[in-house]
Amino acid sequence: MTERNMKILIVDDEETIGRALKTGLEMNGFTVRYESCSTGVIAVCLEFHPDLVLLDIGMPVKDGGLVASELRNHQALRNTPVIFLSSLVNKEEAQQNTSGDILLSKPIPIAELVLKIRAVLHNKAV
Amino acid sequence: MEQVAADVQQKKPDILVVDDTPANLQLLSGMLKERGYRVRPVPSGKLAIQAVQKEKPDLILLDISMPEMNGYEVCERLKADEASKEIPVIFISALDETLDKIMAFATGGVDYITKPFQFEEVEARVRTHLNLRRLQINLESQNRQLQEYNDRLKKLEDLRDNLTDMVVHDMRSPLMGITGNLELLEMDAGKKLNGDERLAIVKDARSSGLALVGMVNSLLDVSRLEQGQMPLNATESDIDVLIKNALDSLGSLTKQVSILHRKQVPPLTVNCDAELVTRVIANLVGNAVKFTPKAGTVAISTAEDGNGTTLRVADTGSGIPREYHEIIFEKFGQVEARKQRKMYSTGLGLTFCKLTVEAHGGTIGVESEVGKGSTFWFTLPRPTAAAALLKKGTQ
Repeated sequence: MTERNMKILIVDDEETIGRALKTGLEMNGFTVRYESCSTGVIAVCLEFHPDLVLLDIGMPVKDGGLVASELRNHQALRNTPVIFLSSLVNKEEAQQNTSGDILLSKPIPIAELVLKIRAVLHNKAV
Repeated sequence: MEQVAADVQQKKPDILVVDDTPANLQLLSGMLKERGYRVRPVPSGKLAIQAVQKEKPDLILLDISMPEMNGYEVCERLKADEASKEIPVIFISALDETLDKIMAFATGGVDYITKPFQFEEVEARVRTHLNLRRLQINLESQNRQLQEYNDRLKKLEDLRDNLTDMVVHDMRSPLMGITGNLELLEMDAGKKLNGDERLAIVKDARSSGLALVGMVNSLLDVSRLEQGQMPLNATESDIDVLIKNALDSLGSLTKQVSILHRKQVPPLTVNCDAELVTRVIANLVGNAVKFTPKAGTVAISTAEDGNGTTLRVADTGSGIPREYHEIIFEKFGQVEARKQRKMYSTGLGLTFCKLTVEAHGGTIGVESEVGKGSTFWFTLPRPTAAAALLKKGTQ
């Protein structure tokens, strides 16, 4: 599978961040869909079939931790890699959100994020 | 303990004299009474223990050689009991071997006087040990007080650390908005993006910058309002104009849900600091939008009654459980809410709103039920009352 076909779903309630990530990942060759609302993520995944979900944690209505555990409990989606991209800083909160493959903290350079995404996708492929 | 200290200072010091020889007992008691002490003479060790249990003396003069229970045993018993162990015991005995004296100190005595004694010496030693005891009691009470202060400061320090954590955490998100968008422009070396796209990126970076400015302002304003150092610049303002300015300041955020705002005819005016109250409204509407799913509505309404002017912001979001209704407005409450699951946490915005409304003499609150949305409201007092208060505030 070439990277061109790799599909990333971004979920972040901050649109200024979500849009920047979408553009940045597209510039790096990914196919990207962005959602600012965390409530319909399962439905979006079933339709979009992302290779990886990039998930904010601190979101109103439904937080990223809950979304990730929903993905993990879904027959068709449980193997989809999840990267948490969060502004959470303390250990306590990191321990609460272990259902993702990795936890990255904002702000992170987009270039670095791209490297992490490639590493996670590569590991899954192997 | 403080009570005891006061007693020692104000009342006659209470001295228990223990001696099995009636003549000695009488002589010593008489002399001490003459010097203004309250004296309780007892002729045996057993009675001494009972007397202490009945009422704690300030000091004990204790003979050693007594039948049944000697002075050492009495002293050991008193020292083994939490309630009596601090009472100073001065041994007074005809035994003058060094070993006896060592034994006396080993059982917990503070001093040793040999018979026959000079009364002046007895009194000097009694006075010295009463003073030492008083100082000890004072120190203990000061220690306790310091411990309490220290505990309280520690707790405040923890709260402050958590608050700093929260504020820093909140700032990381707009920082990502700034650095991420700037990085896009930098990455766009091949100029793939067109002018409109580049402009959109710049706008997003700027709006993240403004969000950061808003957070810094809230933080600074909260501490200024708390210290009562925020001057209010009160003017007569049309409340619908304030609402419009607030909505404008929120920019694209207001496009996420439908916002209903019915203007008042004729205009409704309030006497307030227009800039601060505009920011209060922006905070309340901004939160309402954030916590309302797409396709939901946020309705802003105003009304006037005898108490003043009330503005209400009603959303169709997920609602807030009862136990959070007060703490979401408190500075440290935010930290708590954040720890639980952070869904009702909005940084310091609501604390800023509460302090601002209260500085105007008004009240703020929320009515909310889980699953049915929330209505945040605040009431500013009628112009006359507000003007009087504002005037008072500026004096």
